[in-house]
Amino acid sequence: MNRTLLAAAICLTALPTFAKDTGLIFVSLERGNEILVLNPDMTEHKRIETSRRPRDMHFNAAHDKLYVACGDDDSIDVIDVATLEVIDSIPTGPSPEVFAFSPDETKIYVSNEEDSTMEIIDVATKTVTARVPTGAEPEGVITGLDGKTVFVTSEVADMVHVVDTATARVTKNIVVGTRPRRFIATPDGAELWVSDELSSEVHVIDLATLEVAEVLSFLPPGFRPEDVTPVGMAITQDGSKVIVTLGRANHVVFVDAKSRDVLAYTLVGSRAWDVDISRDETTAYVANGLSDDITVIDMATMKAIQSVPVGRTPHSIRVDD
Amino acid sequence: MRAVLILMMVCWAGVVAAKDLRIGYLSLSGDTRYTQDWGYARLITPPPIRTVEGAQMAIADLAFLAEAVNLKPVLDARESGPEGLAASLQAMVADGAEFIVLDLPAPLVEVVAQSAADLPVTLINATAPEDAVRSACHANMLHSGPSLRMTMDTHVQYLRAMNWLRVLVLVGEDPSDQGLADAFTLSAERMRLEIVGRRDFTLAANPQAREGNNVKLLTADLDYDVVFVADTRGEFGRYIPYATQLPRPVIGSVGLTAQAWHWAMERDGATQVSSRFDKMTNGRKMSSADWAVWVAVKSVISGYTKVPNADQAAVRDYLKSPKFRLDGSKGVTLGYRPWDGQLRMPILLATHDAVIAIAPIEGYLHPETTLDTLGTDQAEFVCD
Repeated sequence: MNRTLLAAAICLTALPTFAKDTGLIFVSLERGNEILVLNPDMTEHKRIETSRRPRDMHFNAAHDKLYVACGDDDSIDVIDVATLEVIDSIPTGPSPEVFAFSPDETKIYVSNEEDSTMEIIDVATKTVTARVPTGAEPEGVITGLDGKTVFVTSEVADMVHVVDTATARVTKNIVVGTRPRRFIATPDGAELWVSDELSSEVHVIDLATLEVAEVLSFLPPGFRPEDVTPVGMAITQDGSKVIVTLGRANHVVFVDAKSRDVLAYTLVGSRAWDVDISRDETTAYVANGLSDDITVIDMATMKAIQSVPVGRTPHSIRVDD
Repeated sequence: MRAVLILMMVCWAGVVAAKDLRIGYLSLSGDTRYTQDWGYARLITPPPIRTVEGAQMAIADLAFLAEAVNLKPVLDARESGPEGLAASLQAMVADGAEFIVLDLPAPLVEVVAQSAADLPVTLINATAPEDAVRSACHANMLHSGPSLRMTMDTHVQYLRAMNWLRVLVLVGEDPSDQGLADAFTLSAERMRLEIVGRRDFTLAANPQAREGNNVKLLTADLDYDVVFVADTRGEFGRYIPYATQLPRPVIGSVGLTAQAWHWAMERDGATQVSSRFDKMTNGRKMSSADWAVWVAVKSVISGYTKVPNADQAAVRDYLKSPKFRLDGSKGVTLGYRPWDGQLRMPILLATHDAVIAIAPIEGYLHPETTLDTLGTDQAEFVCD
């Protein structure tokens, strides 16, 4: 039970909890068709060739496997974390982008952005057990703490679909901002945050009522609202602090998760999209899609301390610690 | 499966039956802008453009959103000859259409607009780029495709950025070619480009007309950085690249063209829009005209979902307000300019198979939004 909860926490926060402590940093390179593995000192460890267009990545709870959605080959590749080799591949529908595991890791929920469905895939048999029709261009996927619900955004329909995992049916649609992209959930299970790329907002959904509780907007000094295109988010393990990438504004914002106050705007690279935080929470890593680099941020000072060229179009970052 | 799901959602949403949202679409039968097989030996044979497919796609794209607010978009698509357009429009309004998307050439947009002046309807001109359609200031009209001035400003921003400042303008015999060359010249002079020459070309092979039909002669005897070709029918222009006397790039109607949309755009979700369109049309590439119709219908449905229980005038006001933030899959939010109803948007500079640049070109600044560096800005806009 405890293990299930921990696994759920992983799905919700994308924060590694079970550690092998290799400290390796994985960066999926959408146009490079590879994953760059960096050492903790940011030197190159290895490049792993994957299926084409690798995007979202998740570790399993044991952290011995890394799963990678590969959009142009319609598959989720499986990488052995010990050997850093692709050892398996799970077929999906057209253009998988973002996925999440069920708390027990028997199911994968994946958005197929080109045929407007979220597929439910049985991990053991690698077969599709259900297809849930969604609004056009589904993207963000996150599993609820209890595993009974999955949330998926539709970028075109401007909404979050609430999907009952038992019946594979949409039970509710929550209208949010323009072009909703990604999710985080607070560790206490109270709130779901949704980034709205083109309305420059983050919608906070109350998970008890499934209604929008608050709409946050951010504006780094010197920018206009239309420059601010929020996509990736990460939250600290105690749920106190959220980092939101602001895309074209080339900044990330640190937000106090409770008071919603802006703690800092940090300059990063061009079109900042994904972000992940190291387990000891000393460091955050930001993938910059248009400058082909990642920015390393010191969490204490909330300042960028290093830029590392990685290869063509970094999409997601995961830290194995 | 989807039908069941939608039914279920309707049930979930309550017992209220979904309200029909009738959206009209009016096009011209045999529109010569899309039937290019008049070309000699029918050498230009792109698949026929049927922009109604853009409207159909927008309705499919937003089905979930519309259902969520109890709306049922219904497309009323009609096509007619020039004489029947006004009657078709009135019939659509009588049947309940509050917004009607027009895929018509500029003179017919005028005809239709006059017949709709006192009707409770908003027209969206999707495919007539002429600036005169904007400065006619029809109170109930929006424009979802770019104006000629916007596309010409796009070229001019790029030429400035590239430091290609001396332009030779070649103009065809069609009146719209003259209009295109005039529009380019106006934009170019505003940004202090130098038009080093303006020469007319002709399709006639008569040796006595060789100054106008021989590309080498047309492009000889003066120096220039770039050639701008105004050839809306495309019959002559395609023979100009690689045939100029001086080795210079060719832009305008051929070579590098300014477009609202291009299938080779691969950022900001554009690929997904293009591939949905491909799939829906059995492989036809989405054109700028298709995109303009798609985004027009998308605007209407988005507007009604954000302003519940509003009539068309209130929705139109909302679309022109800063509150409206439309996703046209070009990476930034789009919205309609309050002064002329024009959709502000980035514009692509594309070859036949690649997007070379996207305007506003970096470095062009504006006090409100950089998108307003393209087209007629508020301060200079006057109604005719």
